[in-house]
Formats: sequence, C-alpha cells, structure tokens
Amino acid sequence: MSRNDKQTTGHVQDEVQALRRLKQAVAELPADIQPERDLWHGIESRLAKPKASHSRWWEMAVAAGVAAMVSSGVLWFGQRTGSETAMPVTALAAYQQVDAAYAPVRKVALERFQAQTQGMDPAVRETVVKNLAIIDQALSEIRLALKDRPNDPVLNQLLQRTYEQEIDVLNAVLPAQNVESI
Amino acid sequence: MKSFSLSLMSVVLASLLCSGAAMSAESVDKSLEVKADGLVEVENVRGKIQVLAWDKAEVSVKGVLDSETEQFIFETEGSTTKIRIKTPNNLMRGEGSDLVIRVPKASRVHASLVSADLTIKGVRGGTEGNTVSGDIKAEALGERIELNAVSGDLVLRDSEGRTELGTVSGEIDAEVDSESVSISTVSGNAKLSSGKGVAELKLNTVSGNIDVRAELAPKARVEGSSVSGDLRLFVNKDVDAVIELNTAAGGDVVNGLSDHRPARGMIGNEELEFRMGEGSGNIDLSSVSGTLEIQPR
Repeated sequence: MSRNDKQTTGHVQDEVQALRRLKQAVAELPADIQPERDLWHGIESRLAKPKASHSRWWEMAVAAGVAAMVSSGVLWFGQRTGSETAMPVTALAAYQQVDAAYAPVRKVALERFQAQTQGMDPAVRETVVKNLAIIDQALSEIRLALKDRPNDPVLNQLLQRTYEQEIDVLNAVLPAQNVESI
Repeated sequence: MKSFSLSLMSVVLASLLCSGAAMSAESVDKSLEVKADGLVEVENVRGKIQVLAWDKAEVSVKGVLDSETEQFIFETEGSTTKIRIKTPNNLMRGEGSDLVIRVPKASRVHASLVSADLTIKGVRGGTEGNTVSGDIKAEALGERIELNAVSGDLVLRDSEGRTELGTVSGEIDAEVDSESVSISTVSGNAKLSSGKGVAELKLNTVSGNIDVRAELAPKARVEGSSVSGDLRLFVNKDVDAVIELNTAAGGDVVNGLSDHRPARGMIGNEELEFRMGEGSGNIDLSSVSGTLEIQPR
C-alpha cells in the first residue's frame, strides 16, 4: 500500500469514526428541545411591555424566528455549566442561534434604512452610520471572543443585546412598521 | 395670453409667500386640562425640549415650533396626552423646535426625539426618554426611569426608582437613589453612584468603561459583563456577598476589598472567587479582555 493510499485509508477511518460519533450523538438527543429562558425571557418581557408610540415590530419577528427554530428542533441552548462538553454535535452553537434569529430582522431594518438615507437629515444619517460602525466593530469583538467560547451564555447575551441595540438605532430613525409587512 | 401670464405670476407669488410662511418659526402657547397621573407622549425631531413638572392637572406647551413643522398635534383623550411636531424626513435647513412643556408631577412621560436635546425635571410617575444624537439631562425623576440615546449623553441627578440607562456611544453620568439599576452601552463610558442600598445591578458593555459607586444591600445581585471594557465597582466594605470575577486571556482582575488574589490560568485568563460576610448576595463580573476591579468605597 502506497503512502498516499495509507493516508486515504486513514482519512476514511476517521470519517467513519466521526459518523459513528455523530450517530451516537443524534441518538442521545432529547426528544423535546426546550430553549433556556435567556432569549425567551428578554423577548417575552419586551413583548409584554406596552409601547406608547414606536412599536418594536422587530422583536415580534425575532420571536417568530426563535419559535420557528424551536418547532423545527434546531434551537438548543447550552447550560451555563459545562455547555461546551454537553452540546450535541448536530445543534447550532448558541451564537449561531442568535445570529439566525436576528439575521432576517437586521436585513430588513438595514434595507429600510438604506432606502431612506437619501431623504434623511444628513446630520442624523451621519450619526446613525457612525454608530452602526461602532456596533459593527463591537459585534466583531464579540464574535472574536465567541470563537474561543462559542456557548458562553454571557457573551451570547451580549451578542443578543448588541443586535437589539443595532435594531433600536435603526428603528429610532425609521417610521414604525408592523411585523405583518416584513 | 396676458391674463394667463398674470395668473401664472400670481400662483408663483402665492407659492413663494406660502413657502416663506412655512419657513418661519411659529410660536405656540397652548394648554389642556388633563388627568393628573396620565401619560404624556412627546415626539419631536430636532431642537430643544424641556419637560418640567408642576402641581396643576394641566399640560402646557410654550415656545417656538420647528420652522419646518407640517403639523402640530396637541390633544388629550382619556389619560393620554399627545404632543407631536411632525416635520418632513428631509430636514436640511431651518431651526428645530424650542419648547417648554409643563406636565402634572404625577404624570408618566414618554419622549421620543431624534437630534433634539431633552431636559426633564420633577416627573414622578415614570419617564421613558429616547434620543438619537440629542443629549438627555434628567433631574428629580421618580418611579421607573428609562433613558436611551445612540450618540447622545445621559445625565441623571437626584432621582429614585428602577433605573435603566443605555447608549451606543454616548456617555452616561448618573447619581440616583435606586434599588435597581441597569446600564448598557456599546462603546460609551458610564459613571453611576447610588446613595440608596442597591439590591439589583446590571452592567453590560462591549468596549466602554463602567464605574459604579454604590452601597450594596444585603442579598444584592450584581451582574456585569464586557468584551474589552473595564468594569469597576466601589462598594461598601461590609458588603455581604459571594464575589466572582472572571476574565478570558488578556483580562485583569483587581481586588482591593480583601486579600484574595486571582488565579491565573494557562491561557492567561484570571479567576477570583471569594466570600464577604455571610455571602448572602452575589457579585458576578466577567470580561474577555477588560479589567474587572472591586474596591471599597
């Protein structure tokens, strides 16, 4: 057997072992997957909070995204203790769940902002753009930290909060919009 | 043909006069009887808004409207009073509103501004103030206080009640007597002092620095997190709590409250956990690369 053949055989064996581990992990997945309170709690409390003027339409959209992930079994939140080791291999990392929940809402909000920048007070536009850049930098910092600790609950909450702040910034200068129109 | 030319000239002249009228700032001096403990909503884009509490069951609006005002709404229905200065989106010229709004002391006030500065004093029924680039100066507020700005600065004085303060890049300077305080920034720095025993304190920032001087009540719950920002707590020497300070690589833990020193991990992380008194409360601070410091007041 040539050296290349041996390497190929080694890779195949690794793949087989990885698949076995994956199969085992899938078998051990709980039948019911419930999200930890963290994300829900924040969304629930904000949804319950009466809004006098600017309804935070995006919160409902995020909640809908989270609900969709829960119902499809994608959502899984690691426990604070030992989250890295306990996490099923097929589940998304906590920050990926947060990313997925906020991605469509951020996209819509940013597109709405882009569409309205021409008619916006230049000073306000400049402030918003500058602060979106600050938030973008902050998100980069959080993501960098999450690379080492992907399921750290504190970092994930910080990520979630920073997304909320980004959408709040956009929401503050955009006319109120109902979730139905997203 | 002549009559057409004259008509056309008349229309042009009338249009110019109308637009000239719209460009000039209009004074306003109006008041309405309202419920003493109702909600007062204020919406304005730019300029300067002062909300001052008084003892009358009346809301008054006095000052100058934005020169670009399309519609001024001042109405009360049930327990809600609305004050809205509607302007076009594209505000590239003219001046903002300069208004003094007086509200009953027990009112709840919700102010949504964009680039306008907000001053609010004496409102005891609860305040929610939001701006983008405008600053907020608040004084003698009560009940529930929620102030948010994007790049604007927040200054809060002599207030009490559950307090939530947030900015993206704006600075926060707060002196309160509150049992529950929450501060959240992205890159903005914050400074807080509380004269009253704090039972619940939440601090969150990405790269801003937050300094807190507070008397912590027994069983107090303190949670704080940052990525690269520093969190500094100056608390009572006799604080009764389990204290946990944790950083990842690059972060520092500084303890001036006791002789306990942090353990340094293999990757440069620092961890410190110790108990003061009976340990009835909990102080839990974490950072990736920032400094976590706890000192006596």
